[in-house]
Amino acid sequence: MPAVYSLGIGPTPVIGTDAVIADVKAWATGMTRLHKCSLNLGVSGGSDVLLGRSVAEHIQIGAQRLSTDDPSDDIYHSIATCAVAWSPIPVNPTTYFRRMSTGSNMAAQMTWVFPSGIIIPALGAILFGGVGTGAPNAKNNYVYWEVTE
Amino acid sequence: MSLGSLAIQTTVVTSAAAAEDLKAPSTLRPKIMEVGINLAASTASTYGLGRAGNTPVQTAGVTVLPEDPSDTMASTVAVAWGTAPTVPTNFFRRIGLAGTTGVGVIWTFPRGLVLAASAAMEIWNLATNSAATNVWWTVDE
Repeated sequence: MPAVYSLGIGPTPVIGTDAVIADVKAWATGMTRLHKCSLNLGVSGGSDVLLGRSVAEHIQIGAQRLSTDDPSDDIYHSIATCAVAWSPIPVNPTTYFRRMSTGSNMAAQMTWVFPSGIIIPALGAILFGGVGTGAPNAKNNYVYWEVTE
Repeated sequence: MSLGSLAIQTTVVTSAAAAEDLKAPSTLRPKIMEVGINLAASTASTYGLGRAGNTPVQTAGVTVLPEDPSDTMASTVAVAWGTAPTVPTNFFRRIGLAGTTGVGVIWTFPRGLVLAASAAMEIWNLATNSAATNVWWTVDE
């Protein structure tokens, strides 16, 4: 059975319609399966958010590995990494797996579950991004990702 | 088994009309595994989920995205039609949503809600609804 890894990250520093908020990226050596992700408003401010594949390869700044859910696993950290800053910046997709709008209350949130796992191929990434022309997407979001490898 | 997902925002507000649908290709019987609805505007809205009474013809249908990039998907999602869907005879689910942005529902079908080839499943406006509602579908082809 593959090992389960997860990580909570934030507060996210990026604000603005169509801006990328957070991502999880597979390493060059193998694919990762995304099983769960969540976005939670750390401050009040309505957001319109997408979940999709990054269109182009990007470089994470301050990348963090996900930690194993089972401390008896041989490998304590995932090969996939998460970030909230990039250079070059990821590109939002034009079609999405999910999109949501939140109320403007702090702690508004959504958790999405993918029992079979969305496959992230080597060097691919899944991201939360701002979408639409509604409320600007608040920064200071808290995000978590759960993957298997 | 090939899983695919897609999220599209509705535009039709008219009561007793389709807001969005997922249509099976002519060659497959996809299973709907999950449907999510989330209000992007603060308009109270009432929706039903049911099979189209006819065989609608989508305009600018968007193919669902493969959850494994090595797969190819065929089911399509649309919010406009050349031949509009007609009202489902019955609804699998109905829900009323308060007029607050962010409210919504996720319906899951662990064994899959099967669509016949070329058939369509509708998100149906049971009232004058929000002009902008996020709807997502997960299908297994």
